[in-house]
Amino acid sequence: MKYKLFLILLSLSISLLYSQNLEDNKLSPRNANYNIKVKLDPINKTISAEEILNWTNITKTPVKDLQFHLYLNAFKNSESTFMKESRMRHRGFSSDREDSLSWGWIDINSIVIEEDDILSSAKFVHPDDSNFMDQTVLMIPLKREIKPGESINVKINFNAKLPKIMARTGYSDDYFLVGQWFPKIGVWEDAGQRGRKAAGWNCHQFHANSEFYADFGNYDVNITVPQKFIVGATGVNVNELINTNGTKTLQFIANDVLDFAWTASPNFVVVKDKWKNLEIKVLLQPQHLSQAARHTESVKNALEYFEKHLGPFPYPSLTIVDPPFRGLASAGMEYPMFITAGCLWGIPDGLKYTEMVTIHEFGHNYFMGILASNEFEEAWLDEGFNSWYENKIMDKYYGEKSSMVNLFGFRIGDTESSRLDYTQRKNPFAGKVNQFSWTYKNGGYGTNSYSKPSIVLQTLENILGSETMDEVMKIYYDKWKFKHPGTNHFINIVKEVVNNKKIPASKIDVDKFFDQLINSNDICDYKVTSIASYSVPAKTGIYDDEKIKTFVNEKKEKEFETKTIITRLGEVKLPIEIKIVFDDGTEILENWNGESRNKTFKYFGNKKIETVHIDPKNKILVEMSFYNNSLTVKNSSSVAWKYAAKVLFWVQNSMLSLF
Amino acid sequence: MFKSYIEGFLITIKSIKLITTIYGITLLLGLLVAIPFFNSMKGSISGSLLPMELLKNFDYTSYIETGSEISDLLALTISLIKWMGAGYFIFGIFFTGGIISLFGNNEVNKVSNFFRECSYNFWRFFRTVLYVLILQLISFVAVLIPAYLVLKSMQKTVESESTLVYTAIGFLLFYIMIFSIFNVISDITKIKLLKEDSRKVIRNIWSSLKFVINNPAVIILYLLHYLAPLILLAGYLFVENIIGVSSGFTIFLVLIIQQFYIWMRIFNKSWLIVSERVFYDFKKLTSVQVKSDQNEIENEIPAV
Repeated sequence: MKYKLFLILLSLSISLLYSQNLEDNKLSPRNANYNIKVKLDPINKTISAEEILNWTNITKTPVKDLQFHLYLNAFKNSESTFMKESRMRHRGFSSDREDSLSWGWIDINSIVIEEDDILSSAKFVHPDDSNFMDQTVLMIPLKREIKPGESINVKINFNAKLPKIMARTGYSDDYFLVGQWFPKIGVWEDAGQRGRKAAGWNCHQFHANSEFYADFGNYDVNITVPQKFIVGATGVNVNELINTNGTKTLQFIANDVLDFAWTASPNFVVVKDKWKNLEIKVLLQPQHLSQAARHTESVKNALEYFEKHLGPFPYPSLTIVDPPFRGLASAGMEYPMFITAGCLWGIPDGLKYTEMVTIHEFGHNYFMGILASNEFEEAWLDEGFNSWYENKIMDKYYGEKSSMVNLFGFRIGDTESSRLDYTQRKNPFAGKVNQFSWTYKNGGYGTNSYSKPSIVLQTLENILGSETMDEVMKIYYDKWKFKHPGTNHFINIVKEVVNNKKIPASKIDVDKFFDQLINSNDICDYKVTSIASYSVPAKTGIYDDEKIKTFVNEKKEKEFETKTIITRLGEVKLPIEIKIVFDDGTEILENWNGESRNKTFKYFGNKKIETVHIDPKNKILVEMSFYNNSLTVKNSSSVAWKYAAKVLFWVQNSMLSLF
Repeated sequence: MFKSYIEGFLITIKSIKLITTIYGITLLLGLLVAIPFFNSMKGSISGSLLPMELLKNFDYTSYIETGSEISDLLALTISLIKWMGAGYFIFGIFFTGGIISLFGNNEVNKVSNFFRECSYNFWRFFRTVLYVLILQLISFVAVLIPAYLVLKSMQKTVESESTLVYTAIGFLLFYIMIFSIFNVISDITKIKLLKEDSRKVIRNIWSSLKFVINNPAVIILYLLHYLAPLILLAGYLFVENIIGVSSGFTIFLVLIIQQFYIWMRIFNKSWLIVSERVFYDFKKLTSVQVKSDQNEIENEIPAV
């Protein structure tokens, strides 16, 4: 008994000490703090919880009501906005309409503010559409205003049924990934914040093509599960109590975060590792144990890169979840200090999906987790920036042209894969990058949020240089970490750095660059249209020389007029370099502002243009076609020979297979 | 079985001229696709420097963008290959008659005799292949449906992905076995039809089935021959990777190796058919021998 008492006191002391340490190091405004006690019923796939939210109005505008996200209601029925938009499918996984257990929802039992239960006055609102069946945003009118700087405690009792895993939330057998599970307050914004006209709640419904937006706070969450379950969550596990009813309660504390997710399963194998002072925990499926290092090593690469190029990871722990085969719909999701990766048994080392997804989801701890942009309205600020960093990390550690696939001689790089995802789209005009994520009615959310912005940013880096771009990113990070940056905040920093470094407008016009590539769906496509050379005849014929007709027939070395025409096929205008190679091996590098529809470069002399190459170093990754960026008059049929021989070989083989 | 395997090789090696004739036809048909492809590709990609990246190694960007530029040409080539494949399927049936009939027969091992034998046996062999093809299709469906149902139900129940993968591989191997058995039946039927100069295809398919069941070694013989080109292909890909295929000389070198490989495949296929013929002859002879020995024993029993 004494021993037990000692253990309880010890764990309480550790917990208090830990909270105290974190309190000393306040990183964020901490205006949305949650204390939640939740119990998992693994048989009925339900949770029941008590939540106490301590919310502070950190704006200059008083608040008359509160708005909460009830994301789990997106999985309640086919009429929710999420289900209607997704047609009940999300990233290849569909909801099982035949199975009543596959649906999920959240029921609020009581909302107590200042000892008054005000649940009866709460109502569902639909700020984004007129879908009155959607129950993902709850509005609670307040009996009195919350003034700027004032805090309020909201006590919410709720039950939820978890859906069969969809959109990275729910259960599969006895595996639970519990994300977006508690009533989460929206973000109260002042007029002018991120360009809004009037103060108000930024609390969008749950859409098929959108993620999240929230304020920072401290989370103290107690999770009760059956004793055989292994639990991982956002934050640090500071306490574990064994209960008499066959359950256990684990306490997790996470400070300066904007969300909290957790997982539970009796089947996890826990692999622990460390990077500097960071505790890394991988919750693996037993059959994936041999792939533990793929998770830990890739995340260490990411940590090293982010620390060097952006800033040190500010949290004390990181949990990586490896979902089971039937729970793969929960793979590839990010929460602060808690990510889900994804791997399959027997995947060869040459396929780097596990590394890519681990690095990508970890990167979200920075882009969205720390630089807390609004994923509903400006998805590119998290997905685009994060994809760009993912590309850079993958290419740096696994090879520029082999970071995604390096198998049997086939090599695919991550950056080139992102570029081709955008440039090879059948309709590159579907949507633009800076667009509310649920408004991509003709498709294009993925490309415009992930791949296109990542290559726009890489193009910017190629133009400015890596050192300047690192400077931009460090300033952006230092200025906006643990805040809510918007597109213009980033653009202003780029302009500031470009001005400070006195980079000429002929090299980059920052406003124009972003207007063309972020705020419009115009494409960039330059083409070498032609190369032509004409011999210039030497002077010959009858000339009037002081009224005397003189026959002239000059003998001199043959001269040429040699020229090339460059055409701008797209509407995007960027300064470009053009390498011109002559038949005597000499080269000229021309600079062109890329403005006019056609540009002719003409030369006179005893040499002819042999090859023209627009953007020879492939800096402009947003260029739709590298194919038409070059033209040569020196024909080589080697490639045609090589592939004709291959065609012959495989035709013969195909025929012989039928012999 | 091994005796048939070795004897089959010795017979096949004596028929180099006929194998080379079949190879020549294969090459000609292949060139019917490859030459227009070469001309069109040369025309389509001339000018851009990007396709040159494909000369060095596999370059994904170059591969995708060049592929996109010549997508019409690729579609046309694939369509041509399909038609060529269908045509060669018929040629394959045609050649089998000559191979079974004449390989190893030095006196009549002439190209004109070969084609005469090919023509003579074509129709009955075509019918054999058609019937066996129907059986293949039925067996495919018979394996595919249970495989789909089992794997789908396993997806919902098994904990381990490896169990799922191994089960799928199990079904695949089972199907390869069924596929091989039907191919052996097809070959044995052709041999029987020719040896017995019969035109009763269905009856011979049935008796070939019994023959294969009674002599399962013939399936191993068949699989042995199917393994050979796969090993050779792996070897070829390895060599191609080492050579690099990035200059005129290396392209030529690889072309020669490719064509040698094709020749070897034809040799291998001929060797398989001849080995099966030898195996069949041997088994038939043994069976006749046993029957005549039994008759002799019966005749020697004194009358009571």
